[in-house]
Amino acid sequence: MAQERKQGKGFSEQKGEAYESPKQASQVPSAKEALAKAEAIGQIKVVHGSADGTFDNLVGVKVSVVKASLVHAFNIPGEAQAFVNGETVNGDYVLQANDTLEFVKQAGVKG
Amino acid sequence: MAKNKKNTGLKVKIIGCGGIGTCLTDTLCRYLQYSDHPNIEVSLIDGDTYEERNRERQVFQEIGPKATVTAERLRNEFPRLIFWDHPVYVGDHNIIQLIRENDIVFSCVDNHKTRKLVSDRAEELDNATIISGGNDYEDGNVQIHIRRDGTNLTVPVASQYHPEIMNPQDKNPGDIDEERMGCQQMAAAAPQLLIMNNLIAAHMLKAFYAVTKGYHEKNPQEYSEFYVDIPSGKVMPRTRVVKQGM
Repeated sequence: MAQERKQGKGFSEQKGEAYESPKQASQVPSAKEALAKAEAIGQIKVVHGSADGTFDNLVGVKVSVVKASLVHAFNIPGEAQAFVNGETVNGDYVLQANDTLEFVKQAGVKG
Repeated sequence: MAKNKKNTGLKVKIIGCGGIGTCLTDTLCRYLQYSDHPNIEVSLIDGDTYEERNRERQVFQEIGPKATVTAERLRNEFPRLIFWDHPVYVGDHNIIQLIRENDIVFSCVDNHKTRKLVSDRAEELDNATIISGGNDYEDGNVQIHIRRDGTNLTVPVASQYHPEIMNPQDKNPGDIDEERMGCQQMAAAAPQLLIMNNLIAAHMLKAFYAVTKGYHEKNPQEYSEFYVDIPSGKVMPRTRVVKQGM
């Protein structure tokens, strides 16, 4: 369909696409299905302060490796303490499916 | 107030009448003035003094002790509320008198040493609510410690999640030689953004409203902490796990 758009099929083609959308909507997985799929894949949520991301390729990876990989993207300071599912872990902890890994951001000082 | 709690009035303690504190007090008091809470007492606690250079971020009409000047201004505007002013820094020597059973404390201080003191005091009490805010230049956080019947419903402000508060490396302003390193010098070393103060104050008030309405009771751990960040535009709640015996 994207290729057809590039070829300039025009207004009528877009109208046809809109007409088909109810059928396509039925093919979109529900939130429950998406969640089940994510759990099956074993996604891992990584958090630092207000930054967070969900990754599906971190199962079996050590916390220290994740920290090193995301230190710039998530602006994680070296001293940030790691928690998995609310429990303190060290850098050798190996991430498991559906873990939430948080590098806790320090509290703001000023007031 | 939670529906099942006896309505015995409200005792609010605001520690720190600086950047966050002055953003917070007017809205809080206006809300309380026209609320249905009976017998509302608001205590303002700060050992610092307003100076001309504070005007860029702080609301005051005269030079003088922050707690006293703020209380005087608010008394005129919100006559239904009872105001107490304590022009002192919170320290080991006075915290027992300043923070008591059933208090709702807004901690708007500018150092972790005082946050630790307040947190430790809350854990000595059976019932207390501590709403602690802090910010850096463009981000900050709010922590909500709810303690009921001697049990922590949410994690204390000083917990394993925040070792920088558990083991503070800074000093209580009351311990600092003001000629050598006063609040103004500290402020000069770490500039603040009025908009950030205001954001943190707003989220502290949101937490206050949620707690007094009892919204935390269904899932208190969701009301433990959240981060506010201007560059990303995000406000991010964080679930904190209360450990047994905390």
